[in-house]
Amino acid sequence: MLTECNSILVVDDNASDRLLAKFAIEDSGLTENIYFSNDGKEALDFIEDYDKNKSAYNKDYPPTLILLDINMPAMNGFEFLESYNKFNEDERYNSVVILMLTSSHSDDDKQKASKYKSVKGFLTKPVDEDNLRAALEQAVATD
Amino acid sequence: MTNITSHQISGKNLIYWLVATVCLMFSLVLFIFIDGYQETTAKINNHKHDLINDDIRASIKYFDESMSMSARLFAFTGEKKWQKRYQAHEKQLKAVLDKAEQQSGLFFNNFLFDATEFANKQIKTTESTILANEATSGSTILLNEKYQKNKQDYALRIHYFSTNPNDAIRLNQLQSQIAYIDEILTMSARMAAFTGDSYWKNRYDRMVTILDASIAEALERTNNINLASFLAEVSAANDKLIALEEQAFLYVEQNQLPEAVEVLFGDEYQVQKEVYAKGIEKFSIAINEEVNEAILNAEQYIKIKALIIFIVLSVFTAFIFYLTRRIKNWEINLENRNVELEKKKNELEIFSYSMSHDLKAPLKSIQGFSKRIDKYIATEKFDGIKELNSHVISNAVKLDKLVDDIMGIIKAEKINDLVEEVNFSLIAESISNDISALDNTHDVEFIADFNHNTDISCHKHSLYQVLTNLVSNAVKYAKNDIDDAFVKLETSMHAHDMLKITVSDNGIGISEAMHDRVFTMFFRESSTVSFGTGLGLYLVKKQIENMSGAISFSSDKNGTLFSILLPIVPVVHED
Repeated sequence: MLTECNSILVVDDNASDRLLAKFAIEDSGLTENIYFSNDGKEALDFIEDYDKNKSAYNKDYPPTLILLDINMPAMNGFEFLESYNKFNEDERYNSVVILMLTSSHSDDDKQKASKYKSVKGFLTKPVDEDNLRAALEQAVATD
Repeated sequence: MTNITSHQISGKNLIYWLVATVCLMFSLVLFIFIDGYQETTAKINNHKHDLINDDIRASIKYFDESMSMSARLFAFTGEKKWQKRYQAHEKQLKAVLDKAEQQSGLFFNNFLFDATEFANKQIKTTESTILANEATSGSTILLNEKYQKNKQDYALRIHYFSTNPNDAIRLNQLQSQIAYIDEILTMSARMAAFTGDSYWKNRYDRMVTILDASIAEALERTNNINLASFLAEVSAANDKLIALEEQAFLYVEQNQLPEAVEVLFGDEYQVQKEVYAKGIEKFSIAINEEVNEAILNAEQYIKIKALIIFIVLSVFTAFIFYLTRRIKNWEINLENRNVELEKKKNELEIFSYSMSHDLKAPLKSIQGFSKRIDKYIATEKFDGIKELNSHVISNAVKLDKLVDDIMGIIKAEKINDLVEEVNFSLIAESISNDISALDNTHDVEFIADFNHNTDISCHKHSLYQVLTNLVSNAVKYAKNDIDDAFVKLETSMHAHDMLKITVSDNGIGISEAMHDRVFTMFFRESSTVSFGTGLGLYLVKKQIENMSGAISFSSDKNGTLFSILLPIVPVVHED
C-alpha cells in the first residue's frame, strides 16, 4: 500500500478537476508536493525540466504518482504516454505509478492504456480521497 | 464494427454474367439462323435443280420418243421429212444431254447420267442403222425385241432421274408427261395407220388412260386460274384429237389404211395438234413462272428473316448495354453511399465517444464539488463554500453550453433555416454587440468591410451563427500583449457566382501540429486559453457544407485567416 509519495503530478485541462484532485490528495495525506499541468505537453515539459534541474526539486524527485486525464487539448493523455515511454528506459522512473483520470468507463480507453506498463489503473472522476486510495491499493496489488 | 462493403451486391459480377449470356444467346441465334438459312437455301437450290432436272428428263424422254417414232415413220413411208425431224431432234437431244452433264456433274451422282447416256446410245445406234439403210428393211429392226428392251431400260432410268413431291415441280412433270404422251399417241395412231398392226392400238389405249390421269392430276393440283385455263385448252384439243384418232383406228380395223392416214395427216388434225402444243407451251411457261416466283419468294423470305433477326439482336444488344450501364451507375451510387455511410458512422462513433467524456466531465465536477460542499457544511467550514459553489456554477454553465452546441449540430444535420436575403451590415452590428458581451475579452477591434456587389440570399441564421462563432473565436484567442488586436470580417466576389467571406485576426494562431484537427469535434487549441466546448468549428464546417459552400483556413503565429466560399443564390424580390 502506497501511503506516502515524494510528489504527485496532476495532468488535467479542467481547473475544477485539478482543484478536486488537489482536495483528494490533501485529504489522503499522501504528500504536500503537488504539481499541476494543463495538458500532456505541459506535463512532458515539466518532467524534462524536473529531470534536468533535479537539484531544485531534490527532495521530492521523481513524482511517485501521476494522475493523467485522457481528453485534453494540445496533447491528450495517450499522446503523453507515447512520449513518456522514453523515460521508462531510466530505472528511476520504474516505480512511477500512472493513474488515468476518466469521466466515463470506456473499454476502448482501458484497452489502449493497458499497452503502457506505467499505467497501473483508472480513476473515475470526481476524484476524492476514497477512490484515490482504492485505486492506489489496486495499483500496488497488480504490481 | 460490421463491414458494409463486404455485403454489397457486386454489379461487376452481374455485368460479366450478362455479357456471357449475351454472347451465348448471340451464338445460339446465329447458329439457328445459319442452320435455317442453309436449310432454306438448300431447299431453294433443290427446287431449282429439280426443275432443271425435270425439264432435262422430260426433254430426253420426249426427244427419244419423237426420234424413234420419226425413225419408224421414215422406215415405213420413206418420206424425207421424218428423217429431217429425226436429225433435228437428235441435235436438240444432244444439247439437252450436254446440259444434263453439267447438272449431274455439279449436283448429282454421275450414275444417273451415265445410265441415261448409255441407254440413249444403245437406242441411237439401232436407229442410225435404220436411217442409214433402206427405209423399209429398217422397220423390222425398229420393232424387234432388242430395240424394245433398250427402250424400256432407257425409260426406267429416266424415271429415277428425278422425283419431286413439290406441287409446282410435279405440275411441271405432268406438263412434260402430257406433251410426251401426246407425241406417243399421235405417232402410235400414225404407225397403226401405216402398218395396220394392233400393237400400236394397244399402245395407244394404254397411253390414253395415262394421259387422262395426267391431265386430271394436273387440274387437281392447279390452284391458279391461268394454269387451269391453259389446261382446259389442252384438254379440249386432246378430246378432239382423241376423237380423230379413234376414227382413224376404226378405218384401220376396217382395213381402210389410206383413209386412216388421211385423217391423221389431215388439216383438222394438224390444227388441233397446234392448239394442243400451244396450250402445253403456255402452261409450261406459266408453271415455270410460278416456280420461279416461289423461289424468289423463298429468297425474299430469307432476307426478311435475316433482317428481323438482325434488328432483334441489335435491339437486344442495345438493351443489354443500357442495362449494363445502369447497373454500373447503380453500383457507383451504392459505393458512394457506402462511403458516405461509413463516414457518417465514423463521425457518430467519434461523437458518442467524445460525448461520453466531455458531456460527463462537467457533471462529474459538479458531483465532486457538491460532495465537498456537503463535507464543509458537516465540518462547519463555511468560508470555503463560496469558492466551491462558483465551480458548481461554472460547470453547470459549461454543460448548458455543451448541450446547446450538440443541439446545434443535430439541427445542422437536419433541415436548415429559410433562405433569405442577407443584410451584412445588420449581421456585423449583431456580432459587434455579441462580442462586447463576452467575458474576459481583451481590447479587440472589430472591423467589418463588405465589397460584394450583389444582393445575397442564403440560410441567414446559419450564416449568422458561423460568423459569430469565427469572430468570437478570434476575440478569445487574441494576443494579450499587444495594443492593436483586431478581427476583420470582409466580403468580396469570387468568380462572378461565388461570395467570399473572410474572418482574419492577429491573434495567437493555431499551432501547425493542430491544423488537421481544427474542424474535428471537441477541438480546442490550448488548455490555458480554453473557453468553449470544442464543438464550435465542427458546427461551422457542418453549416457551411449544408449551404453547399466550403471553408478553409491558414494560420501562423501572426494570426489566423478563415475563408468561406458560398454559391450566390439570386435574390427573389416579391413584387
